[in-house]
Amino acid sequence: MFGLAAFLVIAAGAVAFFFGHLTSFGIALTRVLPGMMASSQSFIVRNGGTGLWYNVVLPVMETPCWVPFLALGALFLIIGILRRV
Amino acid sequence: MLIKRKRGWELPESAATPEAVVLGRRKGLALGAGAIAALASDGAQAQSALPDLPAMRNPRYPGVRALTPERDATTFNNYYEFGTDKGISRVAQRMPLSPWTLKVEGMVAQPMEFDVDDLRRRLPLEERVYRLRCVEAWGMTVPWTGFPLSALLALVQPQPAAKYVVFETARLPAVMPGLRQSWYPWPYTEGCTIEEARNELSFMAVGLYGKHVPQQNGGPIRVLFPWKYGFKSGKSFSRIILTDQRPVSFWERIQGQEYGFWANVNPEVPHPRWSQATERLLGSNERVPTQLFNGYGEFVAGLYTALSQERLWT
Repeated sequence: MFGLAAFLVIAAGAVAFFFGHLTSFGIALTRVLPGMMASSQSFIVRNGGTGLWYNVVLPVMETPCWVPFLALGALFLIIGILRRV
Repeated sequence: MLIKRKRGWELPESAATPEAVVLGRRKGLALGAGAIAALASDGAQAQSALPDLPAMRNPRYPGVRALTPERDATTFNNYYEFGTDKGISRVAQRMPLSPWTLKVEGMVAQPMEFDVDDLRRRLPLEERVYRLRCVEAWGMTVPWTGFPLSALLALVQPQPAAKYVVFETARLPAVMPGLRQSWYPWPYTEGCTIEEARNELSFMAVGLYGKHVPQQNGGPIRVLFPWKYGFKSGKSFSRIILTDQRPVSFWERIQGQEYGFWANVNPEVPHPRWSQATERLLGSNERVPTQLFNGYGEFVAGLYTALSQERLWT
């Protein structure tokens, strides 16, 4: 768990360095996989509704590209600590 | 030796329907429709079912295939400003279609701003049945009402140095939720060369199935290049710009290897992720072979004879 957390924190730094720390997660993903955002939106809207896309997924996509990695890293770190305790 | 090949639309004078028959039939239809509307108990409903943008069909552009049912053509749409799903027609209804201003500017002698309602009255309207071929390998055949793009360009008089025409879709964040997705390079822009714009097939549509073009199909005004993949035919314009610089269009910016500037239909050049050899017809779901230039080669092939070094099919 700590290994995964460390990997995600390093990935957050790498992503910020590669794409620029102000580039949004959505823009970074579009650069890597151009067709992915459209197909993801279609899938989520069809199966989870428009609200899920615009209220949940979109805000995450609009955060700086390194934030989701760092947030996940922090989450795994906390889970690791809690499991050890 | 002069070899004259007749095009599909070059009919002898004798094959033309007499004007009196056409006008008489239209008058009869109008009277009949009026009587039905008057008799109907729900007057409003009957009126909405009547065509509100009638125009003579131009026989030079027969669709060849059966018309796509209106319901299919107006409920299966690509319009990313409203969402990436095909079922955006309901969300799109929030966009007001009137008043609507279209600016034509850039390298023109007379930059102009048109109210689209005025434009409809100003230019003679005609109906053309065009086949549309989407890059996603589906197609439809629908009757569009409008006027040649060249007629619009004639009003603004392009400067001799103008080489390209850029079409810019309106940006209305209050009614277009898709604009919140900052990873797309809004506004949606598309472009063509001035020669393509002046081709007789290039058409500005203000009507569909005899009615105003609905929001989801690109109302109130859009362009049609029926020999190119559908994404080249931009929707709901607020601005048209003439320029000497080749534009980088919306999809070209996102994924230039798959969606280029020319995007002419060619069944022999597959999309990187799927074949373009056949297409599924909306409505019947029949799969038919795709034709070079979507079957409009006799009108447009000459535009590209000196451009073999370009990626004409992407």
